[in-house]
Amino acid sequence: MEFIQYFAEVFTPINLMILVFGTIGGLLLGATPGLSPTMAVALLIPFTFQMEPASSLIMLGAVYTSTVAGGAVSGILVNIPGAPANIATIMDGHPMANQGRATEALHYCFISSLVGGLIGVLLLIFFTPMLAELALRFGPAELFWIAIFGITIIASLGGGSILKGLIAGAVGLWLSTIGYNPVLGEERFVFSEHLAGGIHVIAALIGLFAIPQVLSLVVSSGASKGTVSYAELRSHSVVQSFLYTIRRIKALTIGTLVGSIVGVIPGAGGQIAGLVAYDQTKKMSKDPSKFGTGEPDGVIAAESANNAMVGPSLVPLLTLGIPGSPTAAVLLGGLLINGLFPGPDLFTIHSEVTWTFIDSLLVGQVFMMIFGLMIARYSVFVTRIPNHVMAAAVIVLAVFGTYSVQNSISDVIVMLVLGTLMYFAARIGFSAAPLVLGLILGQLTETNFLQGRLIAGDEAWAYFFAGPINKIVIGLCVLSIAYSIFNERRQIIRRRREAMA
Amino acid sequence: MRILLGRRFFVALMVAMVAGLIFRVSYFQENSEAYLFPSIVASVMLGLSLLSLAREAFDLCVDDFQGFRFTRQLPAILMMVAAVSLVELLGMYTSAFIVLAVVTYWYSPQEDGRRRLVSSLGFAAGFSVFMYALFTLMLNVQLPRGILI
Repeated sequence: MEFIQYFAEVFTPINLMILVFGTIGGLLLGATPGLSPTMAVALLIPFTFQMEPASSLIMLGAVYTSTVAGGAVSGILVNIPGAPANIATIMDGHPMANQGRATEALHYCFISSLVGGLIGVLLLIFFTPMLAELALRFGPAELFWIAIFGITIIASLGGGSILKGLIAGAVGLWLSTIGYNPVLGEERFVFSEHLAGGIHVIAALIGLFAIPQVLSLVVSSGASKGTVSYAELRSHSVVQSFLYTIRRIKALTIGTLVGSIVGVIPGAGGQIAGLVAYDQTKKMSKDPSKFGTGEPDGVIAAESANNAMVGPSLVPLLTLGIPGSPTAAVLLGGLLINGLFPGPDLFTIHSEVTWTFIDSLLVGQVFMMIFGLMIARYSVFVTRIPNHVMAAAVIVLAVFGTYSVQNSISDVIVMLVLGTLMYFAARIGFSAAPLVLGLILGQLTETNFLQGRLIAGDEAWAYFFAGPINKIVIGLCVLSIAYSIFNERRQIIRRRREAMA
Repeated sequence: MRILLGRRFFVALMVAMVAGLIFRVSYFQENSEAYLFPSIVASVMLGLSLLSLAREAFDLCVDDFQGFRFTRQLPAILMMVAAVSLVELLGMYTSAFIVLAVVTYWYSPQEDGRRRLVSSLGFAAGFSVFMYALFTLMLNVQLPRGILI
């Protein structure tokens, strides 16, 4: 039980101060649109140069943990997810805010983040060798099918129509191919200089969610002439939220389980953990039609998955040097700067630094919830802002956030064009979530598909369809699609019966 | 079965035409290996959009259309385009100030013109200062500079 032995190291005055500073800073950075956890950790690496190795890793770990949860704040309040990981959270979080339940949604978000995060870190502590072995079994074929499984959930993210969800997902996949071919390096579909580097996921994410929000806000600002039209805020007790979240065992379990599994798969991208968990919780719900209208289970599943992913994403990083998520890749840089090389040495020669870092992740989860709940209290100010003021603020936040990703005005133009088109697409029944998911998974799918073909040569069929992991994931893909079709048929029949009645 | 040619059918037809165009630019390329994945995706997209067209024609879908008031959104779209076009000339903060002031003034429900102008300018100034403190002072993000800042 080495992790207990080094627990006291986290509570030295300097480490505790760094943990508090990192958590608050991470929450604020996460809540800033455009600043993803990866960017936040990268931004803070220079500040850690003068620190002791343990302190610098505590800082980076705290920022990683809290930016993932902080990204939900802007998502719930103004419908701009702080990072791709928070897309699923806003599907029910923002409708809750519109109903005056922003504080309640933020409570569920931070409490479920704590539960998921703690379990994720405990998995990291107790099952590291076993999980590392599992991570090694994922080659291009397995990762290709994981990406395809992610794509199959598109169908149920599309709102009303599976077909429209799938078409939007296909558009997202196609948009991800703009720019360079990831294996052959050939430039494709660069119709304008602004598309030369492809479409950046963060720029698309901000545009697809923020701009339709701005255009909806300016319409409703006229309807509420003379009054503040944003829903009145209902206060909510933390104890009530705590008890409610703990009772939502199914959503918490699905979220934590999905987050832990997705987190440990190298390169799968933690951003899909929330979406997969949301989709599975919706499918297993007694009333899936409630999802998307302000159902707390949607927030709980998505946020517990996001934070459960953090601990396991460090398993392949610490044991094999393979980052499980883009942020873990930046953390690898932080480890190397401190002279720590991934592998068995981390748990033997440098065990003090490694276990202090892992212990700080546990304590950091608790701090994240405490400070997050404090932030939730002030959400009243955001939800009382008049619509026209909110619209103007969202435009500026979206432009600044998008520009800061790559210091590129082309990203801002792409963001505006995609966002404006999305607004009109949304009015005819298309949804932004499947499009973004397609965009995120596109590169992962194509890279692994092409690599798999190169490895397999003439035996591509056997390569992609053989092996227990492939078969299990293919089975899950089939089940996921079949369930979505069954569910849509059921919805159509129910709506027709209601219309006839 | 009766064939319906309503607005849903025409939107589905438009979607199918866009999918056809994407299929055309993806499929007919010289280096087919580099375009293999987009070709597969475009084929699937075209198939799905044709299926959607057939379903709309035979009224097998639920109506999920919502109307929009283009005249109300057009000024906001034009303001965003103008703000982005001005970024390189005026700088990020000046264009942010302008777009904040114009959007809040234009869409404000307040009747009193003078109060409306003062509150718009006050908010624009305050929020620009907040953005400056966040992005330039705290995060050290390099943003385009213009005439004033």
